[in-house]
Formats: sequence, C-alpha cells, structure tokens
Amino acid sequence: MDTPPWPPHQDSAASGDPAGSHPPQTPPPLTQGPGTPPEPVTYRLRFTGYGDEYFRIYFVNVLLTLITFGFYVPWARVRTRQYFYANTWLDGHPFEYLAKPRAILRGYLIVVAAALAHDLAGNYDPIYALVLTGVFFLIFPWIIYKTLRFKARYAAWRNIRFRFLGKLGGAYRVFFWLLLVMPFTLFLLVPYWSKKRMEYAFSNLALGDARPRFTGRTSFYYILTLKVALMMAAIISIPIFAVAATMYFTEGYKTHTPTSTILLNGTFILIMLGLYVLITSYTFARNMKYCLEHTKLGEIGFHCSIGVGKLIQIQLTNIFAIIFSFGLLAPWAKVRRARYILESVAIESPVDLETLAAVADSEVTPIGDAASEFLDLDFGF
Amino acid sequence: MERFMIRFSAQYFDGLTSAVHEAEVEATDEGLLVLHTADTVQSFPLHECSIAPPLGRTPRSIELPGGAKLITNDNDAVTALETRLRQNRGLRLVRRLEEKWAYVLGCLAAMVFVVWLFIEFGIPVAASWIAFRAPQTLRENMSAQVLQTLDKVYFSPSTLELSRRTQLHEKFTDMAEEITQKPDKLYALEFRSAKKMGANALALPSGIIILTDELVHLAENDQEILAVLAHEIGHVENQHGLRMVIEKAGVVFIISVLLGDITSTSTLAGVLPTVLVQSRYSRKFETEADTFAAQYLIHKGLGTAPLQQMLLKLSGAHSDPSSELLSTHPQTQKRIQHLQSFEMQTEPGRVLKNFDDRD
Repeated sequence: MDTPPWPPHQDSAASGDPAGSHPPQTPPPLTQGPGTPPEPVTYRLRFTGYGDEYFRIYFVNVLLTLITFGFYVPWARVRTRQYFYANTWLDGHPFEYLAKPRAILRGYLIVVAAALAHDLAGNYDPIYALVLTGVFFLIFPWIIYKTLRFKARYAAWRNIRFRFLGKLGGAYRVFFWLLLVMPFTLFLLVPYWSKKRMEYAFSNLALGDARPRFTGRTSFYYILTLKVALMMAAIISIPIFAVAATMYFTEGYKTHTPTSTILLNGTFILIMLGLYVLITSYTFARNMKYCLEHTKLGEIGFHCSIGVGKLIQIQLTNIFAIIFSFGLLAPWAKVRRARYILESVAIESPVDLETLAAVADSEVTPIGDAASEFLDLDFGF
Repeated sequence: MERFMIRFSAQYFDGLTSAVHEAEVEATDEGLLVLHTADTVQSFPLHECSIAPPLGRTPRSIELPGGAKLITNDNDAVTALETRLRQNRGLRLVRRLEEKWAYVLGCLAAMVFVVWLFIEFGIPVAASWIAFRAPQTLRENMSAQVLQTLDKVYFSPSTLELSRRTQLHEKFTDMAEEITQKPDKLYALEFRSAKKMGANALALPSGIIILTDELVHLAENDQEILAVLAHEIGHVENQHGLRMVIEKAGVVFIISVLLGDITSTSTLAGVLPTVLVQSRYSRKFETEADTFAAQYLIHKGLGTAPLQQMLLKLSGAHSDPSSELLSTHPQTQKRIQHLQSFEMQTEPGRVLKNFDDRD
C-alpha cells in the first residue's frame, strides 16, 4: 500500500500572508520589542479526500446497513464522519471525530423506536400522532442542545477537544419561545431568529481554552432575507409567465399530447429546481462567510472565500450527476462539495497554534447525536 | 523464541496542550508501549491502548491511557500491532472490503441483489405476515378515518332508490357469506354518489366496500356489479390495504438507506424510484384481486365475462394512462387477457374444490 503524502505541505504562496510565512516551527514570541505587534499567520484548510476512495467506503456502508437491517448505521455514520474529519487538515494536522459507534447505537435505537411509534400511533388514531408531535416540539431544543454538545466534544484537533459552552436555557429561548412567538409576528422575526440560531452555535463553540466570540448583527440577516425575497420574486415570475403563456396557446390544456405535457411539466420542474439550488446556495454561502468572518476563537480569526456562483455550479452538476447515474456518483458529489467548502476557509492567528490548552468537560450522552442524524438536523456545515 | 518488536515514528499529543512532540515508539514482548520523545521516555501497558480502526488513507491514531494520543503514518506497523492485540477485527475486515475495487464491485453486485431480494420477496413477505396478524380494531380505525376524508372530499350521499340499494345489498351479503363461509359481520356495503371520481368501487381494510352510483348506472346488469364487488372483496380477504401501507414504508426505508449518506440532493433523486416500486406493488394487488374475483365467478358458473365487460366500460369512462410504469393499475387490455387465460386454464370442477378448501 503506497504511503500517502503526510503531513501535507503548507504552501506559503497560497497563504496570502504578506509577511511571507513558512510552516512555523518557532512561534513568534508573544512579547516582542515595543512597537512590533505579532504577525498573524494564515493557514488554509486542506481536504485530502478522494471520490473513488469515499465511493468504496460509502457503498460498503450501504451494503452492510442493508444486510444488518439497519444495525450497522452507527458504524457507517461514524466512519463517514471520521473520513471527512480526518481528511481535513490544518497546519499539517488532521481533525478527528472521536465518537464510538457502540455508544451511538443505544441513542439511535431509541430514536428509531420513537419514530416507529409515531408512525404506528398515527395510523391507529391521529390524536396520538398529534400528541407525539407536540412532545417532539417540546424536546426539540433539548435535542439541539445535546447535538451541539456532542458534536463539539467528539471533535478534536491535535488531541484538543472542542467544547460547546451554550446552556439549555439558551436553546429553549431560541428554539422554543422565539418559534412560539413567530406566527404572531407574521414571521417578520425570521431573520432575527436566524441570527439568534447562528449566535447560539458560534458564540459557544470553544477549542480547548480558546474562547469564542460572535459579532454578527441582525441587520445582515434582514438584508439577506430581503435580497433572497427579491431574487425569488424575479425568478419565479418566469415559470408563472411560461405556464400562463402555454395555457393561452394550448387553450387550457385541451390540445395537449403526452409529449407536450412531459415537456411542460419537465421544464417547470427544472426551473423550480434551479430556483431552489440558487436560493439555498446563495443563503448558505453568504451565511457561512458572514458567520465565519464574525467569529473569533480566542485570538484566532477566520476568512472565507466561498463564492455563490461556484457553489451553485457544483450543486447543480452534482444533482444531475446523481440522478443520471442512479445515485452511483453521489460519493463523488459529496467529496467535491466538501472540498470546495472546506478549502474556502482560512484561519488567521497571531499566536502559535501550539499554545491551545485543553479544558476538562463533563460527560455527554449520545442520544442527541442519534436524533440529529436520524432527523438530518445540521447547522449547515 | 523470536523476539517480538514493532517500531515506528509518530507524533505525540499529550492532550493538555496542542503542542506536537516527535516520538519513536516501540511495542515490546513484555506488553508495553514505550515512547521516546526528545526529553522523556514513557511506557504504557499495551492492552490499555486503544487503536482507532483503519479508514481509507487517513493517518492512524492510538489512544493512550490518560488521554494522550499518538498519530502516525505507518499503517503497516499499526496494523501489525492491531493484529497482535486482536483489536478492530471486524472493522479491519470492512476496510479490506473497501480497499480493493474488485471487492467493492462485488459489494455493488451483492447490494443490487440484496435490494432486489428485499423488493421482490423480503418486503412483500414481511408485509403480508404483519398484515394478516394486525388487530381488527386497527383496520377499523384506519378505515373509519379514510372514509371520513373521502366523504369530505369526493363523496355525497347516494341518489339510488332505497329498493335498489337494498336489493344490491342483499346480493352482496350473500356473496360475502359464501366467500368467507362465516355470517357476514365483517363486510359492509356503502353507497355513495361521486361526481368527482366517477364510476368506481373502493375496498377499505376493515371490510367496508364503497360503491359509487355512477358505477351502478354504468353496469348493464347486476352480475357486472357483483363481479366488481367480488374483486373488492378480494382486496379485503388478501389484506391489500394494510400490506400496501407496510410495503410503502419498507420501500421508503430501502431507498433512504441507499441514498442516506448524502443529504438534500438525495430526497429529489429518491422520489422517482419510490413511486415506480410502489406502483408495481399496487399493480400486483390488482391482479391478485382480479384472480380472486375470477375464481368466484367461475365457481358460480358465470365465467369472467361480466368482469371483463365491466373493465371495458370503466376504461371507456376513464382514459387509460399511456404508460403503465407509473400507473397503479395494470392496463385494461392486460387485465382482460389475464382473466381470459385464467378462465381457459381453470376447470370449473377444480375451482369448486379450491374454493371450498379455503377457510
């Protein structure tokens, strides 16, 4: 088996640092002579995953999951996560996902049982389904809180774990009370809620003893929502106009043939798909850039060079590749997207990254992680 | 005895700070892992060290007791250590599967086969098993709800004269009793007017069968109506309603497992296969119900002609879908042919015996 290049080179040409750094072996001293502030060093994230390698892992996961009637899922999830974490490098060192599948298995079984109970109860008498859904909404903030804590605690870099400092009360404020109030304000508070969500995650994610600070403002989210709404209005008028025109020309579908119906429905679907990809990619890119560039971890700052156009292109080609390959190209698609997103991130630190210190954290139960996996909750990263 | 020694270089992270220490590591015969860094030598009992399972080309990591960690590129050395300590046997096997393309393609073929097995046999058999054992109260609740919804959206009270309804109801009850060999407690015939739906008959899992006025008017004689009702009774006797629900869930499960590792794009790509498979299951049930009705009609000496004629009339009233792939019913021509060939193959004497043997 050939030895992979390790650790991957930090090429200073790409770092963009005007002072011209090379992989630092000696840290710039924290206290220098008067008048010389420490030079911040820029590091880019690197992603070394390969589509064909991940393809093999992915399909073996699927096969084993099917054969074991789903019991292999915790192992499959952990392997997938670990693959993406361990192929992400910062300053020559990989990230790590530390969760143990056996621990997740229990939480996963609980979630599956709950979901089944919900479905069955619904068939028996809809009132049970309603009650269970209500219960779910009540515990939803708790699940989010547990998920964030779990995801943080079981992620590490250079054997220093991340920590989630948020409190359960904070989760309830953002994910329950604020949501409760939402319909009464005619959903005008949605951008504010977005800001609160991001704040809850980013202002509470610490790495060792590097404490987080989030300086994002609500105004950004209102402007973003406005831009998106305008985009949607502009673009959605196209299919509406097209449908109206077709109806006029075919006299309300009276003279339609199977081919023309397929063409019409197909075009409509394509336009809707394009719109969906555009809106989600735009929101994702803008939000990611804003949040990263308004978060500091101790002295560490972030830059994000993610572009909306490129992201849309990747997303669209991915979707078509997956559909036309009957899902076979899905692993390549995921790796491609991950590479672009991860490698758009740069970290800037005036202090040596060797100086992070670990902080002890209390135990975390993995029920939250299983729940978030099952329901596909994610903070978009 | 051969002395056992495994040596490799690694990076040592003490877990207290993010500082890196280059280290030379030795695993000895005496069961110790010895670490030489620039300024220290440490040893740890081997059996307390936990080696992370191999994954692709990612670096290997070894957890040391006390929270420190070793990360190394030397996969061969770590694999040797793993083998010796008998750790990660299962996942090492998994990795061997993932390593060679030949294995993976084999896995792909195996997966296609397994999925096919599930869809053709696994899911239908499991659904059938569950459906026949479900409590009657479950079916009754389900059916009551569905009828409520249908009444709100599609149906209005029947406009047939009471005498006609009673006449049909009696014939239906006789037929149901003859088929089930039990006094008719389960089956109930409901009449509705359905302008939005047209001529149709529906069977609900609990035994409620709905007949639309439009279908009654469409039929030339009572035998045609009874033929359709026999088909509907076939749906109930074979538990098609429940089986459909369970099979649907099974298909959704399989498709989501297949596409599960990828997120948003998968839901779009998964809709089409799900619909295709579900339509196929549904057509299978229609054929089963047709066969059931045919058996009864032949047993009564009527032959399948009434059902064939009714199918023709119904297809005239509703336009047949151009493609069968997405449709929930087989095409009418196919159904008529199936009935005809079934009738030709079955001697009435044989059918009589089959019919009486069923319980």
